[in-house]
Amino acid sequence: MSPTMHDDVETQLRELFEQQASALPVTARAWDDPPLATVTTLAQPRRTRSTLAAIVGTAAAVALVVGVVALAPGRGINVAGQPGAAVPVHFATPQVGFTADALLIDAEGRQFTSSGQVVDVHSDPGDSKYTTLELTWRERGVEMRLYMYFASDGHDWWATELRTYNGHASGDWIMYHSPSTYFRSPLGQPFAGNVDFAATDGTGHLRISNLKLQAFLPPAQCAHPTTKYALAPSYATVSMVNDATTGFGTGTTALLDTATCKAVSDPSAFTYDWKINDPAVAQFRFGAGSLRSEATGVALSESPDLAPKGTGSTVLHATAHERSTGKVVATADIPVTVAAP
Amino acid sequence: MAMTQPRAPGEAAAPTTDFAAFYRATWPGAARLAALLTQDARVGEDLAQEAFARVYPKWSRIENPNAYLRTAVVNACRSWQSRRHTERVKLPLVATSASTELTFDLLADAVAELPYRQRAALVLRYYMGLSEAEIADALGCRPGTVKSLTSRALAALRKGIEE
Repeated sequence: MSPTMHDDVETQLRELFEQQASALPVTARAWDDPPLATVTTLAQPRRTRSTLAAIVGTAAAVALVVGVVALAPGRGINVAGQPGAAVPVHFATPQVGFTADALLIDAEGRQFTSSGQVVDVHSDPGDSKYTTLELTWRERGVEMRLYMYFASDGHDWWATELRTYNGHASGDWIMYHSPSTYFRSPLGQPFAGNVDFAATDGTGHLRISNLKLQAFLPPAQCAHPTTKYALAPSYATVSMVNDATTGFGTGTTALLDTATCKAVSDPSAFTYDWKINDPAVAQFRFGAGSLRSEATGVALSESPDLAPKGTGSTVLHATAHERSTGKVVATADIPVTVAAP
Repeated sequence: MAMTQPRAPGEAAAPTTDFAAFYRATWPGAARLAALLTQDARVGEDLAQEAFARVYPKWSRIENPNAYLRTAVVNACRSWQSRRHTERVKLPLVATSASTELTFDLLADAVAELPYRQRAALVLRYYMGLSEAEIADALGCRPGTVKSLTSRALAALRKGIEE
């Protein structure tokens, strides 16, 4: 690809989308009552959202928003063992847990296990219907990735797509398709078993022994609550790149009522303080987008975005107060790392 | 979901546009948006139709039909994405030079491989030209989250291009 594209991806994106839109043969249509949706390519029937899904959805909607994001590789997880050996692995994000006795990606005859490597573990927090697990590491001199995409209908969770890299220096994806869905399990319960998926194009296998996988994990703060409220960050670590272009982002942190494990129904009943240990690493940014709750429109000037200022590590302290009394009801310390671009 | 809020029951009726006219006027744009969001040539029109079908029952109560339709298209495409089981059929490109076509083809593949929310943020920003607040409404997130989705997507594309 040309250096020009690298220098100006945004311009190229505009041109690409314009090209695609212009070339698309869209014919004029008239509305034809009664309305009928004709999505014939969908393989799965829709299911009614359950009460639980509604609760989770509501919780997401009223989440108190905090400025955190993982833009750079997070703190990697060291997988102990000799390179190439089949060894136990454990990867976890606030949204997904993955434990197995062995992970083996056979890509065109070359085997990757992550043993002895540092694995970057990331999830797109998504929402009650969507999240991901994205594992990236280097092995045999090339980058390897295992990406899993998850969905939930409020009753069950499952993976909709699995893909790995193919072990080439210029890595490309190997897709793994299943006749139905992968790992379908009730919400709140893990999938357990041995799996062996063949690549769609026959170039590889993904084999996982004694896999215990769970997506849409309930907030850890609800497991053994000691207080009525808890702050639940979407990211275990805020990882940012110190780059004006890509080094900024936000995520969500919910103030949970630990009795119900859902976000408080009225976030405006609380105030929030945010402190950063080392302002040389990251600083708060109060923009227009930070000043309201997305669900209620209530002003939340206490909920800023976080911007990187310099490479290093620090800690973000979050405190929630009851607005009427000023009493502290929950605190959280969130590690923050800023890497060089 | 941060959709444009329908009016509450009992409120005075807002000036309404005939739905059929709205459909005729906005159909091509909705179909193109759905195609770009999915990066799949087969399903754009079906998903746009699904979005209109969702808008129709609420038509008389919607204050901002364009924004509501946009959110409905984004949601329909997202649902489709989570249930996709087949390889995508690439979108066509306007015929240009071979080198330009190859460049755009590679970029289109990289865009198609992004997680849906990241891709949607790019399409809504760089094709639709929406503000962060408008994108946030369509995706049901905060403007700051739009920043992170966009930044992460651009970083992934840049990395992909380098490779």
